[in-house]
Amino acid sequence: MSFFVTAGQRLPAWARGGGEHGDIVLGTRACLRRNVTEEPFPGNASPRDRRRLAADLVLLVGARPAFAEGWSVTLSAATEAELRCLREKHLLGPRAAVDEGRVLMLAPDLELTVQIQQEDHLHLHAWRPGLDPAATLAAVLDLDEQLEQDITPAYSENLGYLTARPGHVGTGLTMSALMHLPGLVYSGEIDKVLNALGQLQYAVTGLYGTGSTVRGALFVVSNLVTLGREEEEIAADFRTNIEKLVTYEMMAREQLEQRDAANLADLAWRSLAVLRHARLVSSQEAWDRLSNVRLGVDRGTLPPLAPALLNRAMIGCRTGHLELGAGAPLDADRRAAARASFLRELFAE
Amino acid sequence: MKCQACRIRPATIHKPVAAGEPRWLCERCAAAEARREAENATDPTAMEAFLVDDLVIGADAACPGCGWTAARFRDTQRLGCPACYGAFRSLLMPLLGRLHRHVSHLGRAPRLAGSEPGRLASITRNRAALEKAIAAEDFEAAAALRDRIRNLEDPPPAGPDAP
Repeated sequence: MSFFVTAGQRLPAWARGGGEHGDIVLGTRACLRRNVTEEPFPGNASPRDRRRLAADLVLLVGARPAFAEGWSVTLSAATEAELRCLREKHLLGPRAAVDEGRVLMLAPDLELTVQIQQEDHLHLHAWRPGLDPAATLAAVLDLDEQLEQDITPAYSENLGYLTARPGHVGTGLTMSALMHLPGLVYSGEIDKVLNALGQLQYAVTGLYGTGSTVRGALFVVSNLVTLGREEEEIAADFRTNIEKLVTYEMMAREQLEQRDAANLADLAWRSLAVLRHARLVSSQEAWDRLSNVRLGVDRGTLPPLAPALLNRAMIGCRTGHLELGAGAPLDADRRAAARASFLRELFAE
Repeated sequence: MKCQACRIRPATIHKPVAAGEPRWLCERCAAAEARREAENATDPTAMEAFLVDDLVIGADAACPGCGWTAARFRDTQRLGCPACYGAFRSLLMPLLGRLHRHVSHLGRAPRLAGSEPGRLASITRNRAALEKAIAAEDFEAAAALRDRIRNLEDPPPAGPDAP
């Protein structure tokens, strides 16, 4: 069965809710980049060569027990709405190539995914809710070890695993945290914190949108250094820095609460009312309202709502999911109506 | 007009800024500002793009393995194949030092690297050896290689005493 038949109901593993610091760190991802020796990197391969190697890699990944009951999505055969749906679930990067010979493989629980022939031949991803660098690293290294029984990776003793971008060479490991940081955004401290992370060789992008268009106070924080440090050291350093960021966010939230409790409570309740009753909701408004409600729930201003419900709302109210649900492309007005209807149903009292 | 940063050298670059009036800078001050901005940038590729752009590259240098040129590397910040690391070594080493602050790998190595390559590579290597043995009419070696390839393609089940 196609992944997209049930895609609307399927939450990615990072969005299941819970986990350590789950109110601030929505999820953790470990990514290992690997290439097959003596093959050109995908950016330098002809579509035919990409297809040939992709077919072999799909077989090898598909033979692993974790992927036995999973899905394989050929990106060039997916519709625009299906591709959007994958990006909205964060299973495909916003700039991922979708032409011939590119495949996304998904394990049934979506805790493991493999991108075949993106920048590198293989991007192995492990996902968990909350802050969990140890489990994601272990899962992705385990998959790598299984694949190495059949694949000789491009590796040099001096530089480690060779990747298409020199920025990823060495371990090929990037750890990422998907974070909700409204306290730092509202208090105006976010730029300072992001600059400090830059000095520590960490990258920060919007979970959806980049630069000034970061939406819903959602960020992805990732390590940039992949060479000259062991995998476990990268993961431990990542944990330390994300925990610091969690502490700053908690402090910012407390200060906001002390300074402006009435306004914060009003914002949270007003936002929940919009989600429960509005008839037209734009994409930007959905981001803002959902972020306010999430903060209200975390601070105990609003009655408890399952984090998975908020994540389902955040992912499901986006264009690709709405269009897959409707079975047809929707213009902006129809999307606003479909979005409002989806949110009303989800947040009904 | 003098550079608005150093007030010494003549300004040759008109630099737009997000808020307020655009500034006139000399080449050296503009490069220094761009470097500071890239160092503070939080976009993962900004620093890399900036550093690669900064490299003095002979555009006609090419990788003998795949034909990828240094100019293409500068344009895309990507390499063409694993052998490009050797072909562009003199360009890459300083870049890696600035990107990672390290130039040699610590951490995992492929489990089967070196003497025991992956199964696919082993089969390929043994097939090549088999062809050579047949050409040299070394039939004893050829028979042993054939058995080895057969075992690699379809390994015998592990016995009860297997570890």
